[in-house]
Amino acid sequence: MRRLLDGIPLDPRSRRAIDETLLDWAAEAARRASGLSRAWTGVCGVAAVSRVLAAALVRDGLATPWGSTAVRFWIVAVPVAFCGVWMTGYFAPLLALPVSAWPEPLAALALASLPAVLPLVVFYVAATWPAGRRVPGVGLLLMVALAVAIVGGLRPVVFGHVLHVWEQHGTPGIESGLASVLASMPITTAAVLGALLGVVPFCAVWLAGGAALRRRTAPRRRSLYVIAPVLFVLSTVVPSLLQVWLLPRWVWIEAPLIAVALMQVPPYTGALVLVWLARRGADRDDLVTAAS
Amino acid sequence: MRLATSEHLILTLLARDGASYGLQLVEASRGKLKRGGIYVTLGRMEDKGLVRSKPAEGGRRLYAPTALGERALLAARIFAGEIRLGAKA
Repeated sequence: MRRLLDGIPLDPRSRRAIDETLLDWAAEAARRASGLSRAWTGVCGVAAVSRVLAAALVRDGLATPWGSTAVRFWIVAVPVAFCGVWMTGYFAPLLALPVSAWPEPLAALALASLPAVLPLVVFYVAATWPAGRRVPGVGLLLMVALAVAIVGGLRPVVFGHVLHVWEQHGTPGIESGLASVLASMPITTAAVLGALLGVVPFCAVWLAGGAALRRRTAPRRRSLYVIAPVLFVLSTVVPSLLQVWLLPRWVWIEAPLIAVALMQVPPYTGALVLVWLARRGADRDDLVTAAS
Repeated sequence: MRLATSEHLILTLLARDGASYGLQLVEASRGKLKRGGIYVTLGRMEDKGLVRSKPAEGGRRLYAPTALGERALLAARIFAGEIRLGAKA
């Protein structure tokens, strides 16, 4: 549990409160002799840590510098969203248009693909946050939720506009391809809520990776900035391809379970690998700094 | 300086029992202070200068009232009518 909590970027005061609560838990558990009382201590310990964590997150959220957080978030989000059009495969309908007609639909598709690349956005925002200042973890995750809600609300307008551009250019046969892309981007309230519940925890793991990378004191291993998007694409796109190509139709009972596993396990594994790489480098750099 | 209920209780316990760990304060409060919230409150009180802490065994911290904390508690007790001016606290 300590390793998990260490990954959450919090201010030193909240970190100390969590550490002291964990130490109390350990001290109390050591005093208990019977298994039952030790189990009860465990329950109380989990409740105490949850409470102090909730208080720390509220405190962290209230202390967010909203202006600089929003500016940094959108400065990173815009270019990453444009890259996201290519990373998520939404570029296919663009290829049927003349390049001169790309700007408007490209901007619209970038907006639409933003939720898919938000983990990378928070990773880069956290990793490049100015030294000596606390990364506003809760504030960034609230920005993620806001972005998902805004994009979800804007999608009908955006796609209406994209369809209009295609109709103007009269590209034959594009409607069906575009329709399949649009079908993969549901716009209902439930879908937006589902995206929020799915995206925010996933972004939290990537945020922890970025914050761990930023904590490095010795020269940063810059390759991690490049490895991150590669890992992201591999862990999110490959499961989709596997789902389409490898799932045999006859395993219809197991198929939903396999699909859920494919869509959830590899992305989180990729994110946790990145956190591990960033933290491993941080530990070693701390040792080097301490030794010097 | 206005003291919150939990701050008043913590200062009272520290004045009565002397320097204590957070867990000892929770146990001495008989359920009025919660395990998860005690260190958030103590951290806030440290920021206000009401308590100070020093590292003790096993990485835990021992909390004690500062002179400001003792004066704030005295003022709060006088204000609440628990003690009268001129009487011993």
